Amino acid sequence: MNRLYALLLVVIAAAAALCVYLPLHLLRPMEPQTAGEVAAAYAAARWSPLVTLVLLGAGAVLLALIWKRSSWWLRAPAALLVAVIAVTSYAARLNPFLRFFAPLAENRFVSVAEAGLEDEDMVLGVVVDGEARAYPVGLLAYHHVVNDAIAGEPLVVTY
Amino acid sequence: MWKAAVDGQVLHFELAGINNQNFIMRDAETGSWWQQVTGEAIQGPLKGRRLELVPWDEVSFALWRRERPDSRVLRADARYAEHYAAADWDQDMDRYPTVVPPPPGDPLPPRELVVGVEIGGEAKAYPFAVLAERSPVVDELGGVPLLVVVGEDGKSVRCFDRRVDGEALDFYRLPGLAPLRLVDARTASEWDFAGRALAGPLAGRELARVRTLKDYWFDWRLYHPQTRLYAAGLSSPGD
Repeated sequence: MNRLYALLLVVIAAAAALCVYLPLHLLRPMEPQTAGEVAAAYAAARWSPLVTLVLLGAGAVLLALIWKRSSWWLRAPAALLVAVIAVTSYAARLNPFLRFFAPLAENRFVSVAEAGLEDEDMVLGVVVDGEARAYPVGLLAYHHVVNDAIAGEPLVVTY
Repeated sequence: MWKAAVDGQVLHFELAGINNQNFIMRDAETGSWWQQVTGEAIQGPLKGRRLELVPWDEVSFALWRRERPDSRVLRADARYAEHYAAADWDQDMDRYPTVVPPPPGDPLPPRELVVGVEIGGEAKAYPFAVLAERSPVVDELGGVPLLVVVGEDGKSVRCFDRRVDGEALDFYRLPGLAPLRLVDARTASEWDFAGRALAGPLAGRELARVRTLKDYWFDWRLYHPQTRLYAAGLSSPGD
């Protein structure tokens, strides 16, 4: 029985890890994507927080069962596997892209005189209701997404 | 640049992935995934919806400052200073391979910068290098007579509907002037880079802007498979 529980625990840990790894694998920047792969990546990213949590619960139950009827040589690796599932469940709640391209914590605007830009720097310029704003491309090429509002109009600046 | 709302619900976006080297963003409110270049939701509850485009200009800071001295400018965050790109960063991008295989006989390198125009269901790409050499370019797309102009900074590009009172005008550049001045062949009125007639019979008139997208050739072609290519003198798929 212990062997079965241990096997199940291995399968659960592998499933949890796969669930978190799948979107990263499918959306590698230097590989092409098909529409099906994007759909699979979305499904994995969408459900991995819940799925890994359920798997963590199942893993904890299995660990308890193993714990009762075995010695340390099985308890230790079983506990390690449950720890792995816990880590995947945590990782499923992170967005790795935001580690490479951090969003702006807050949008702060200055006048053109204080902008500190060179003449040849490119900007995305926009006018909403007579209110003009410029978003330097050098910043956008890193942050990629800036959520903003001009004259009460919510907009998202992307590059 | 997009209006960040669908059916009155305000959306907040963050990066969520990469799809053929164009990024996917996720909205925090519904978790839907959106393709950056098209503004279309490709996965999730809002799949199939499109964000409404906010017309913007991609121009040099010098030009924007001259036209809009009242503009506010998004300030850099010192914490990310090392990540910010220099003015010539897009030249560095040439080194990165693309992942979408080019069709045989592709007339342009995948990372060639083009200015894309989509109008009346037709799409056309103007290689930036060709525009820089020949600006102003007069053309027609989707039944609309177009004027594509590169600013005196050699970097900013704008596109206009070159009709005034229903009649298409031809434009030439007055040499050696900065800021740039154009003149139309019919009335000899003088026009600036914002598409406004400053002097002559048409003074006070303004050409309607046509939206452009500066993009890599591979990306523009991926989302506009039927695109034509402006390249007189070069072979091109649709012309």
